[in-house]
Amino acid sequence: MSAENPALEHYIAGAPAGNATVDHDAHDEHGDRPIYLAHHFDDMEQQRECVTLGMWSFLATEIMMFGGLFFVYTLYRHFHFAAYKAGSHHLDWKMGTLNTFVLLASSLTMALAVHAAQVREKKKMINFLLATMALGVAFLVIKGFEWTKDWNDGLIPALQWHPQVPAGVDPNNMMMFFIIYFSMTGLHAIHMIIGLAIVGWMTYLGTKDFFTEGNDQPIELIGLYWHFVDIVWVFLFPLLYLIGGITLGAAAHGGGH
Amino acid sequence: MAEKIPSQNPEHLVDRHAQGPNSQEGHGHEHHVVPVKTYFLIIGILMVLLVVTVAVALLDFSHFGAQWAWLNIVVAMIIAIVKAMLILWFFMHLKYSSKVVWLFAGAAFMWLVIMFALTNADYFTRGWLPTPGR
Repeated sequence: MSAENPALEHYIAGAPAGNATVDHDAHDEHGDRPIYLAHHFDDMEQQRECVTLGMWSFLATEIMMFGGLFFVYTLYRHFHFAAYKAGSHHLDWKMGTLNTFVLLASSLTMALAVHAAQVREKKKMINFLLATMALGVAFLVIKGFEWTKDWNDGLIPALQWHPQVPAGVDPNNMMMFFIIYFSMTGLHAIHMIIGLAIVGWMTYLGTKDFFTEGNDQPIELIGLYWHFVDIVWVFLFPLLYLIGGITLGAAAHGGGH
Repeated sequence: MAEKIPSQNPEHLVDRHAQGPNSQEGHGHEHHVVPVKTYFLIIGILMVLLVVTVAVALLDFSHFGAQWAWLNIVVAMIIAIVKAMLILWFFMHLKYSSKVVWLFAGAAFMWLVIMFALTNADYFTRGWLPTPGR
């Protein structure tokens, strides 16, 4: 550890080894300054507050981005409700329900991973992060099945569009529903993939003792992101799958009634 | 100045929320650790609400007459908002966050409300009044 910044080198190298000691900046007056405390913060509390606020600023921009799509949804739904209902009845609400269960469960495991990091139980934290990833992948796999079915049913605007449209519904308006459906679920899926990549990276760092030695904040932050993506789905599910009521008799193949 | 890595300091490991004798920086109130029991309670409520959402959609208020069809979306949205609130409050720890975090979270939703309210006020009222010259 002879680099210019030993603390950073230690951070990159991973787990603290043995009785490792590190030199610290001259302005560290107390000697109990944790290694993960960035030098521009006074103490952990300040850093904690600051990074949490930073994450919420990012989430605010995310709310605005999804908000635009939700607004477009609202507008077209208002003007073309029949087309929306017909489009929605092409979707399989049972798959949607299953996916909501899966995603809510992943939020629980994520919350438990954050808790495990806070109380410094490394093994638990790793396992809960892995469980979160497994549930996240399960969500995407189910979504993949749905999209495959949509492809086979000719419900993909521009690429594979030959849907069964009930009488009295303008096919173009129903296409608009599917454009919005794929935009919203697609953007949501992209967020899931990014989340999975970050959780995977965090899990790897977690095995190197990064987060269970007092520095649980990064896990808390990815948790915020993960729960946010969950909240988006909580709204997407009823808005896309449950328009104008559903029936037990499977997803309507022949269009809505 | 050399320092020990936190993991080498048992006191720090045992309870980082306590004011250690060698802590002169005044780590005042540390952030809240939510008990696991709370998480399980919340997920239970969330799952029940999901079942209720689906049940209400299956029920389909329009069966009681076309004039009740609007209840479908209203009930679904109320449930979704309650679910989102539970996730925000407990899973995302808003309940235990500082006022400035509340401000940032609230501001985002506030702008969302402004966008929906003002823009819809235009779209949804078009045609309510005759357009001059038409």
